[in-house]
Amino acid sequence: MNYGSLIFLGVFATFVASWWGMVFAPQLQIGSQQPKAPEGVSVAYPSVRPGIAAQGRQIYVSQGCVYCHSQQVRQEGYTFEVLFLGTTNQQATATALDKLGIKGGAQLIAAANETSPQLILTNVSLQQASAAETALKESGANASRVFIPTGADMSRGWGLRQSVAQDYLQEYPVQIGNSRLGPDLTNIGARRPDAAWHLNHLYNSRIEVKGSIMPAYQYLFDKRKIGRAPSPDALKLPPEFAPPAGYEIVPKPEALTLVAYLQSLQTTTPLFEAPMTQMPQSAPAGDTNAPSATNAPATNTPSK
Amino acid sequence: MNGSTSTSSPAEQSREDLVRDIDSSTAAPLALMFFASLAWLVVSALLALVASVKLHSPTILANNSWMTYGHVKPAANDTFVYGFASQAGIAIALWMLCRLGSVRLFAPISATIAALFWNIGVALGIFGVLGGDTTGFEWLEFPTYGSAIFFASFVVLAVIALVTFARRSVRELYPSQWYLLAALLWFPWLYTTARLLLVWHPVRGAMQFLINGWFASGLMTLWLGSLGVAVLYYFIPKLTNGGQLYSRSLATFGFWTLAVFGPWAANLYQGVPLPAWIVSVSIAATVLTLVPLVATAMNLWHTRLAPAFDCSRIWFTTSLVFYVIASLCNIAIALCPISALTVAAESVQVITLYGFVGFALFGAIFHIAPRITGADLACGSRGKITWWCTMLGILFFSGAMFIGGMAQGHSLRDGPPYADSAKMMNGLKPFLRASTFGLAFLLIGNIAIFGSVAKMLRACCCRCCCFGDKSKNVKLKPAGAAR
Amino acid sequence: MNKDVTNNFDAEPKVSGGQAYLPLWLTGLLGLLLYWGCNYIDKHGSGFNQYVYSPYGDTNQLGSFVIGGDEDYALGRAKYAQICMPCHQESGMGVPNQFPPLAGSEWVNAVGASRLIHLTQNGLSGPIKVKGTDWNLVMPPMGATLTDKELAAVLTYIRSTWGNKAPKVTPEQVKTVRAALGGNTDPQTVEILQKIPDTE
Repeated sequence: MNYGSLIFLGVFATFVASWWGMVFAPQLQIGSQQPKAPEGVSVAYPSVRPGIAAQGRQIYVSQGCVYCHSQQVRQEGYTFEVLFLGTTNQQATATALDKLGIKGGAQLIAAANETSPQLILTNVSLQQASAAETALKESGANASRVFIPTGADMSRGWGLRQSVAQDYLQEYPVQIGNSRLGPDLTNIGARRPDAAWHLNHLYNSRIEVKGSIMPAYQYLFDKRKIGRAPSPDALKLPPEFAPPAGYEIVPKPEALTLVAYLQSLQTTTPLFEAPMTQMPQSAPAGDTNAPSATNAPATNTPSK
Repeated sequence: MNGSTSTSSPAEQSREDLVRDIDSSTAAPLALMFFASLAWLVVSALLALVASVKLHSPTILANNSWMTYGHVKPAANDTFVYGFASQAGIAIALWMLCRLGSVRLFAPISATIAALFWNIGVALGIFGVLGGDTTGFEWLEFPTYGSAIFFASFVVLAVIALVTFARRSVRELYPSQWYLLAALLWFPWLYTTARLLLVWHPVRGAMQFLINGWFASGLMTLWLGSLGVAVLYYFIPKLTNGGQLYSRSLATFGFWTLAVFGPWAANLYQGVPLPAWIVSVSIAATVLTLVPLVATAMNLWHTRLAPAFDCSRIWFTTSLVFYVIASLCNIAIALCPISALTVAAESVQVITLYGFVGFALFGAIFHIAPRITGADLACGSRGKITWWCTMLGILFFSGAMFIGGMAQGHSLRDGPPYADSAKMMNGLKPFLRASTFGLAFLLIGNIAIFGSVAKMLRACCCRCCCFGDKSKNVKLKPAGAAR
Repeated sequence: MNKDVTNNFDAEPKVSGGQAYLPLWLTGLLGLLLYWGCNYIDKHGSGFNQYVYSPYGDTNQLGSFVIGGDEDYALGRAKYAQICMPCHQESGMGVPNQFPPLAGSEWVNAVGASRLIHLTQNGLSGPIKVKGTDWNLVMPPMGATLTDKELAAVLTYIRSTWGNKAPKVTPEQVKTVRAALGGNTDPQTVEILQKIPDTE
């Protein structure tokens, strides 16, 4: 250990190894991914963000949103549910349900046939779900197993599936983030489609969320005298946050593009490496009896 | 190994003259770098304090683009790392390379100019970050105009360090020199890779996240960590054991295991949007850094024979303890994803940056500054204030953030399904307040060491009225408590 | 070393110092942690596959999560993911100049499956024209390790996905071809395949 060149070469060699393993090899794998059309979809995913949203991403970056908001949904596991969609052979299906150990077969059959799909098994393994599905189908019933990604982020409604490398292909700079002082924004566009909410929230987050610690971005807005008629863009603020009479708060282009970016943040496409809950075609959407899989969107904020 | 030949200098020159000669050759660049780095340290603590206050009182300094959390927070981090730790670290590295090689600093004027440009680069970078001109990658926020100047100055200083090293008259190498040599290779490689693949010729998608994490991990363990360990390897034997290191083979083992495993860690934990194998490799590498930690810490702990609680030694003992704590926390965080995405990371960051690296650099500055300025050894009240305030600051901040982070992780993970984040953050507020308290302590400590060194430099300045050619004009008096 | 007396002003750490040996247990710790690390990567690393993320184990498992199709479809998809996807890709488009596409391929969409079964059972070598492009490559006998049911399911899967619409393949068909091949494990070539009727 008395030769500088020896140390230099040794350190060089070990570092080249890590560079190969942690930079080069991953670059060959995930760095070379291309947008691709998932099964049953004709549009390649992810698509490029529309221009206004891409501009908004620059505002997002320059305001340092990433220091409080992550854009990564974490998944801890998965489970299956079985959905019962009705039957043509009530007798046989009732027996099959009984065999599966499901109580109240008659009511279930009636409910499934007349009103809506019924959730008959929850939190089961793939094998159990498949077995139940097969048994019911053999009895002349229509049943379907449903894949459920599980994890705190899913149950909180922050995402429908975990985030994977494919999701970020069109992003630069990637804002995955390492901190969750605020809620995750992977799916904020699906959770909060309302632009007015976002504008108010940016102007002063306490308007929309009591006790929020998000900084107010009032410098992204103009306060100006109302002209002949109030601007259609002006924020509708509650009295305690409203500007003095005769003035109005109008978002600058920065605020508008930022909101467009937030609205464009949606991860609702299933991928091979990140499957997500997909309802069988025959299940009516938005039904109140729909299984818990249709994670109720959006409750990262308390009601006002 | 046939004994030290540290007397390969001309025979007629006494050791004392030689040492003074070496010290005075480093005086000009080091004076500038110490002053500037400690000034950045104060700025960094101020910015961190502002950022911390904003987390529980968002209306303070609100509605100002320059002072919004997303600008202040990265500015505080970057000021600490590039303004203070890297600058003071490379200054100390230059001094240690001179002393260990028994050689005068090569091209001190160029080093001073490079140091000047370093600070211009950092200032421009911080200015850009505060103004919202950021690359968007953590620890790499500096816009190109700042980072280019900063990095060019780094290269000049690194070349000066390597040339000084090559001209050494003591040929045998001491462990500190291994670490400095490696760090001077690691940092430019990490930095250019990250800038190249993230900013100039960006890679796609999640690769950016991986490279960012790999850089951040390397910045902490390979660059700042190596500087810190080099300082500890130099000062702990020197100040507490008559220059006798416990074991050279342990040091070799620790060094090479770090070189092999360290660069594979990338600050990842299960759940990030990267394929499982990348995450697993990173976690396994992080856990394997336990080996160099044990080797290095054991070696230094055995070296520390005399009780080390006088004002010049306590810095390094404290730093050693925090080195162990920080590395263990790092491993724990990699293995236990409950702390992922929470403020617990900030706790480990402060233990690493202030506890391990900071204490080591503070101690080295308190040791070196009197020698290059001819002032009395700073064993005064300011040193004590710095130690106590930094200590209390770390304990308050890290304790609060660690407990708070665990609570946050718990509510992120197991909280009621629809728990809203405003409620979560309100639960975190007591911890955030305590962390502000801790940062206030850190700020006082930083001001104290800045004042202390500034006073030494001022006295020195008054004596010779010129930083540039001190070696001609001033006869340095021996430092008070030098052994 | 006589200088030690005179040269102790601000002395540097001794370069030659530290004769203590490296403790054996530390080497043991390194070995132990290396063993653990390899096991950890083996257990959680999913064979360095780029499609596998944390809660999932392997591509086979991911492939079986298909919703809506019948059991054979799920089995076929799972086996495809495990065996075929590394080359032919999830999209069935292959990789230009390396692996030919399956989507829209005239070989996959032939009415009879006999050629496909031969090809997957024994592998393929030599030039072949797919979708108007010439390829010259070697495909290993990927299907040889699968059961009749599994091979039939994979072939059914590739014949009914990505816009392909060819008839199902049954385990019996696979069984017949395997019986006809007997112990023959020679790689197939286009010439051999073209002797097999397109409609079988």
